[in-house]
Amino acid sequence: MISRVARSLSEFCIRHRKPVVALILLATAAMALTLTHIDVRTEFSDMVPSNHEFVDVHEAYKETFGGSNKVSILVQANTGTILTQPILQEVQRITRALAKVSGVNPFQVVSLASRKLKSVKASSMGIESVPLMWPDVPTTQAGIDELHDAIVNNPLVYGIYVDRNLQSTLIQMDFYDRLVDYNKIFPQVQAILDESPVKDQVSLHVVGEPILYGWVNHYLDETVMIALMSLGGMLLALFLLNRTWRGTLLPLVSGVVSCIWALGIGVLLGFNFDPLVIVVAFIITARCFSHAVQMITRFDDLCDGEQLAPERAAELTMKELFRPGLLGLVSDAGAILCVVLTPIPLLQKVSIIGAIWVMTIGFSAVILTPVLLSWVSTPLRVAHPLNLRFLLNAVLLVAVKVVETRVRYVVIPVVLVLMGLLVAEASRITIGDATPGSPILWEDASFNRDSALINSRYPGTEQMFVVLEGDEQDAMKRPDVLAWMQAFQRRMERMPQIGGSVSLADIVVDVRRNLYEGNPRYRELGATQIENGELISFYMQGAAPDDLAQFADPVFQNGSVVMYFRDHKGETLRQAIYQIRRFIKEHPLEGVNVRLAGGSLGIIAAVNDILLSDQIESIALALLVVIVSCLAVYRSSASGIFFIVPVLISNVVTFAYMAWQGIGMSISTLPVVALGIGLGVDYAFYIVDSIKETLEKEPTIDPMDAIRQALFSAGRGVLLTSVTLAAGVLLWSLSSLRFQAEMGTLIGLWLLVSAFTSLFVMPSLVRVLQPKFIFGDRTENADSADETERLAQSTH
Amino acid sequence: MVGKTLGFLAQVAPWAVVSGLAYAAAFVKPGVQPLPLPQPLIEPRDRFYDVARSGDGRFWFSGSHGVVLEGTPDSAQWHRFTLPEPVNLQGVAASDDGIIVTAGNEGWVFTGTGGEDWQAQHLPVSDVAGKLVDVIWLDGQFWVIGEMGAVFRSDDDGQNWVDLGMDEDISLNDLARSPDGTLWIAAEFGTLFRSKDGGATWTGTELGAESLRALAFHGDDGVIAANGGVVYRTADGGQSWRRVQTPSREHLYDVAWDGQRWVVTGNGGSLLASDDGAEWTSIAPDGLGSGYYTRLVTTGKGLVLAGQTIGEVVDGQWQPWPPAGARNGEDQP
Repeated sequence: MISRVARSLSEFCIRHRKPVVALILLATAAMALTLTHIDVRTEFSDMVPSNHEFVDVHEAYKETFGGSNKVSILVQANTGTILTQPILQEVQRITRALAKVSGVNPFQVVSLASRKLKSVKASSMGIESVPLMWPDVPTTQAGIDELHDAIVNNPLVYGIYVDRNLQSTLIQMDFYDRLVDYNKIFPQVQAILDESPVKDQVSLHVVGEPILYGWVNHYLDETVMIALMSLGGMLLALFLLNRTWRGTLLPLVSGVVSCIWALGIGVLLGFNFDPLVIVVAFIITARCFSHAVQMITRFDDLCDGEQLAPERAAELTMKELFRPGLLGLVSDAGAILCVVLTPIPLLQKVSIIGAIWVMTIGFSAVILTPVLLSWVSTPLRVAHPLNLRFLLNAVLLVAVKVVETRVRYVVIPVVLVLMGLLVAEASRITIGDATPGSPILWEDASFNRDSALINSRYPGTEQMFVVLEGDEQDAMKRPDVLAWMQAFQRRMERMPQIGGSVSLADIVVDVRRNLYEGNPRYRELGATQIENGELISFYMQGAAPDDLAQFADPVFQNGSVVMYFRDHKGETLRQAIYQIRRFIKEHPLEGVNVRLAGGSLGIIAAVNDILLSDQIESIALALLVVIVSCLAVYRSSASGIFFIVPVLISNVVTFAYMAWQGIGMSISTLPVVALGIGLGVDYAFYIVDSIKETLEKEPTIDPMDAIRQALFSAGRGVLLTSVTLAAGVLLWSLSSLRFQAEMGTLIGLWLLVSAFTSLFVMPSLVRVLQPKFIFGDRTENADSADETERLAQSTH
Repeated sequence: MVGKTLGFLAQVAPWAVVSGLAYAAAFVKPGVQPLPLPQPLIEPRDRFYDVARSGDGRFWFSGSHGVVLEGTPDSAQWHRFTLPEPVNLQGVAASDDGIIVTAGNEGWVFTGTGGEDWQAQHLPVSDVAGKLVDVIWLDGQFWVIGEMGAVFRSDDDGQNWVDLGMDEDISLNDLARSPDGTLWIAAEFGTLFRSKDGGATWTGTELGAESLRALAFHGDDGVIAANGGVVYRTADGGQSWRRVQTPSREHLYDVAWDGQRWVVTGNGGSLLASDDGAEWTSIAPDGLGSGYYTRLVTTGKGLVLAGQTIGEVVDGQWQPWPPAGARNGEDQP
């Protein structure tokens, strides 16, 4: 069936090659026009998984208890304390300017200069609640001294917004999630900081999700530059190794056509493109190159080896490689499409676009490339005198020797032992982030340095909140509820990764202390719900209605405990979630339902929670696609296990590398792994199918000769593409974005492992196991070592 | 036979692999090795209110949530006790025989000797305001004072208590005896009580509006620490008191004679000294916290402070306690 389709299609395409090319080029031009509307940006909502209890809590309470897009700005005095008029004025200037940043919630800009931070003063005469430094900065030393006293006596400010040495202060801002646009926030905040009139007196440091993704966008030009350099590097490698213009330019044409089609369809679907997943685009382009190179390699073999005319050679190339090409593409597309089941919008978009992109290769590489090859003039000429093919042949000779000799019997046990060791290493992989700072940027990036600085001076830059949902109004004023909050905070703060926490209980005890002349012996909860209500009323005297919004809703039915974390490593979050659940179980609270967890870390914890199962699910489904594809093409489920081998090896090696290098499994690595499965299986398809094709075409041929031919034909294409692409992706290691550098390395590793598995393991498996779906009922004849030498010579 | 078996296995194997992975996807969750989160010697939210030294040189700190901390500056082995009632323990005192009495909110008093066993007693205090503010060891007797004019005395190492309360709505903060045997109590809103009959009857005097927090005598000289950086001094055994404004405006919570000078401490890391009680200068060393200190104990070589943090001032240097590397000798859940 497939053979018939392949024959008909190849005959049709070559016979009508001009209309076919015209049609493809017209479609490409049309798609190119849509690219003027391409939307390159990161959207936080794309990374929020649906149908997770943490996300439900976050969505329900993010507007009050804290969103996931907080930005913290540290104003640090270069010498002495921040309690000087110029520095305090600078805090005021920044605070006022931040209120105008795009998407900001102006009521959630909190600093010494905002009306949110108050001093609750008490004496024998009474109690009053006044902003610390709003609306004006103190102009006299006495005023500054008074501010100093107000700061150090306010536990909700001292150590939280001003460090204990008084050398720095924090300004925090939050955004309306629906209005967040990282492309605007980052430059606007940077501009405010750059305008500082007291740069000689302070250093300014800024962190937060909008800033992080702002940095990613900031490096977009560099990312594009590296992608182009990488592309150039691959083309150069192709040119050097292939020695032909067609071998260099046709993969490029094929890659460009696919890229334009896929991005154009993405624009038509209304998708935005996250700069972080540009590596995914790169992998798919690599797939496209690989298919095109296979076509060109086979075309060259047919023209050079069998002296066929280009038109005929092109038609045969398309016909012969249609089956493995289609199999590879369907497997690739199916594998990436499996990721659509992950309930994370970003991954769903990547999955859909990825699958579309992969399928476009069917037009750009499997059809367009051989059609364009049909115009090649003969005899085939080399474009430069430097012949590096001996390098490829040397490797291929070794591959053949492995199959020819008894070494082939050692391959399986050696692979099994190696896999056992690597699985042990891979099992250490971290789910979630493995580093304290952002894994997207390098450790010494200014964002991560700023983050480390703030975490060293303050409780932590990232937050998670749990919600207490009462069954009646004023439930949060109950003494047992407030005592629960206190006990919970004490327990959680035992975790070294949690720098601190705040809750309504902290407000109540502080007001009570102040009500009793500031006597610390009275820093405790009220004895009754009514007393606590009165204490809260004292606090609210002269306060804005939303001043307590971070701690409780307006009717005090629901409240929060906000925890500040020093890092967001996967292990930290799992430990925190475990400890929270344990505490809730050990300390049930009547009439109150405690729910976790919101805030930026609640979302990350939710992602981490589903990541492992989704990763395994993706692998399982991707393998299922491979097996079903094999079943459809080879009518043998046994073929499935055969092609799973390179996939499993590539997976295990890559995961082991990630564990070894401390690269955590994250939302961003998931599509890379899913695509990697396609990478792992494609090479094997080409080599094994080539063996099968030869055996079918020449029923009397010695199987070893078929393997040998496959290695020197399809194997050469495999080696060529893998080395070329691996060389290209190495350039990604120059990226200022650590994530892209690491993913580049991972892809390079994956390509090489897949290729070398296909070259050194699969042929041995074929010869040792002699699977029926390849060999049918035939048996192997004696080896022919002379044939090896002949084939090696023929490829020079 | 073998060939058929292998063939069958090959047919089944891919489905088995996928099924295995599907099972793993459904049931395998990222594991977590739970941290025990052992009770640290000091928690970030611990607050201490009082410190006492027992005859064997051990220091006893009482604090929030029923915590008593015991240790010595040169020991790495400290002990943290969480008493049966998690109330804030406002005061602690040690007898000459090493009996420790600590008292706190809701009329709770605990007596122990340093082991795990603490004897709890609930003294008859007001339901409205039942905080016991301080415990004092004075000439062979334990005294406990607190809100609503609560005064209790024990003559048998805390086993039994005599109620000497004033039945007044006033919080009593500190108790001391002058050389002539008169008992003095510093109370809120500037009230100073005195008793010449061992606490049976009390007479109050208004020294001013600011609450009086602590008092101490050295011979006929005496000093009262009060709110707002105010001290009152006497040179005649308490017959007359003179108001002195220190350089600090912070509330002052304790006063002591360290053998050479008067020392007071209070809010905002205040630590002031005066040779005569009239002229005060700050002696707060670098590193002393900016929080409050409610109690100071003189040790001969320095000052031990209890409050938002605990530690010792020796030779003008602040040494936070427990010392680095100190462990909790009595880990408790």
